Amino acid sequence: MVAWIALGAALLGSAYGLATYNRLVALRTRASQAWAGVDVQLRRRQDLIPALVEAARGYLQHERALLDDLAASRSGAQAAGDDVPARAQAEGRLAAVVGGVLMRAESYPDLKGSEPMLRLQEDLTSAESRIALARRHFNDSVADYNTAISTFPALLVAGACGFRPRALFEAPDERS
Amino acid sequence: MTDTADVTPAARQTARGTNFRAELARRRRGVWAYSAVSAAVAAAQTIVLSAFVTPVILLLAGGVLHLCARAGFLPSAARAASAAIRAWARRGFDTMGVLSDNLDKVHGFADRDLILTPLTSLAPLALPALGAGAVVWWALRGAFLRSGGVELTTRLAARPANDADPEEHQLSNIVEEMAVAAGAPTPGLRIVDSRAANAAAVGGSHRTGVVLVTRGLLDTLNRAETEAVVGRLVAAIAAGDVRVAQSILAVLRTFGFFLTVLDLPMRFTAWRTLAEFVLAALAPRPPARLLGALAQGLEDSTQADTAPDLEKLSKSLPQPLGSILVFPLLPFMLISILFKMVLLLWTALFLGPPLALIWRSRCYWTDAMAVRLGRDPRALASALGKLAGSGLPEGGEAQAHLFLGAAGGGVASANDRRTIALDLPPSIASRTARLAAMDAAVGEAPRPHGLIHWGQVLAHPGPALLVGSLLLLLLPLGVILLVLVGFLTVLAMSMSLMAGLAVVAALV
Repeated sequence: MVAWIALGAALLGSAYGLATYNRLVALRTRASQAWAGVDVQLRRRQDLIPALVEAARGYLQHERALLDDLAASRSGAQAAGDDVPARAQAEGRLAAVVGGVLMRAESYPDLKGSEPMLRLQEDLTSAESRIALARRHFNDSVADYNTAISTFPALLVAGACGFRPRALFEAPDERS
Repeated sequence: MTDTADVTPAARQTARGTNFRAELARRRRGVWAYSAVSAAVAAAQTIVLSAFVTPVILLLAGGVLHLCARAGFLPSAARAASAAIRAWARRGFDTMGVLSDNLDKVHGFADRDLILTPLTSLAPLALPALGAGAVVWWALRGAFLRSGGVELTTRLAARPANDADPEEHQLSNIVEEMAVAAGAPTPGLRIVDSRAANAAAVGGSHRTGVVLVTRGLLDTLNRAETEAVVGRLVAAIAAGDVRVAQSILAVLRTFGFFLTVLDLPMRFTAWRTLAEFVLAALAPRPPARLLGALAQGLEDSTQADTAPDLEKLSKSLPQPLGSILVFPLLPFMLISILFKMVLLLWTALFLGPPLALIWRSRCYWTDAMAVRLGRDPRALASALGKLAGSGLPEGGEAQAHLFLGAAGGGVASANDRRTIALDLPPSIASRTARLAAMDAAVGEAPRPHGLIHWGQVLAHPGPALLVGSLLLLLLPLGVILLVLVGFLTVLAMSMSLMAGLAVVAALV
């Protein structure tokens, strides 16, 4: 009798373990997919930078430092790779520098009104909002995953199978 | 005490997260139920047609069986089957005779069995027609879905966005933004060069969806409003509304198909539409041009003023000859006109409401979803307000319900082929009212409105009494209308059923 109960409990326990493991894998995959989405949008903003430099170069002769800063922060963002907090830091810097360039451009009416610049401005705004939306989805997915692996009893399965909590993408410009 | 009732739904919302992707996928999975309702409606509209569809199907089956017997393919079985069909038709004919005899004997409610018993034994006659309705619906839906469901874009001569144009470049940016927000694949974008400000979501699934935007809309709305409109369309595509729309369109087209069949003796173009239907149903991937012509043909047949070629023919021939040629077709014409009338009434009274119900429920849900995507109910409301009066692009009338700015209850005469499609979407006023309610609590789903607001009724007893008595007056009028439609239906059905069964019994 006791053996049967033990067997039943073991079966139930392993069924629960399998189901939980599958659920956690699904959540982790969703978070990774969401990260891929953020990454695509970040790269698309990086790809706009050379065009911005090109459009601004003729006008911002005296702002060499600003343009150099732009190029440097772009390569910094590219170098950060898939390390989420470092990437968030670097991308935040890039966003701040781009904002600075656009603000400087305000004081050059010829540049501000030029067709390529208007187009760039629209594209950068759109890229910015796409990044924000993709980030929202990523952070929601990561939060779901982190909650799942840190609540009892799924916590036991997560610990045994090596599910580690993931970092959120926190944009520094939002805190300021 | 804190008001926990208000906190809980919002808290649950945040706990569940703003995972639009999962929510939209859930919504997509529910689409099959809407398709099933559409199929049922498509089948039900053929009940009135069973009187002529059943004899025609029996005749066709009998002809095939005779051919089989001639060709020596299972001759004994074929002969037995055709004998069974003949016997069935004769039995039905006899039952009709019994029914008409019994009509004279009925003197009250107690004699109801005299009528009901023959009627129940006649009921199986409706089955072939029901099946035919469902099959035609299925074939039409499949044909339009297989080619991606974007035949409307070719008919409206829609073009890809011109990236050099700042407005259109911005629009394609917005489409991508909204797709990212919904976590859905980026839909295609097509521009219609029309002055009417309107937009529609078309396509066969959430992967092949296309956002249609008129040039007039770009010139009318600002960025926030365009964002709201595009968000609404992207949500419609991702939630599977385009698939539901295809199911509903297939119902309207099934209706058109049977009207086309009724037109066969009198209109040459009806034959062409029938041939196009067969081609489209059989082709693995029907070309858009064929589907456009088919859709146009089916819509034309639902227009009451489709000029019969018969009349033209009789006028073009020398006079006595023309009249003589036309004479044998006159009974067909009479039957067809009678059936068209019955079908139109039947559809408008009984089959439009369920379709409108399912489409409106989808619309409200997607509106709420769009607000959660864009987080700006006011922008969507003001965009809807601007689109309301501006009309549809040329050629989109028969699919009016797909367009965002198609106000329900638009001005339409009884003969207007747009009547049903126009009545499907909810009115702009009720949508903006719901959006205004959401403005107070962004992100909360709209509460369902009851039919009667008892609080209001109790607060204003005088006007409520007046309205109530007026409604009571309307009730008998409605009953009289229903009885008249029923009488007309029964008359048309029994006439043609008698004739059809007699022909089957004689020929098969």
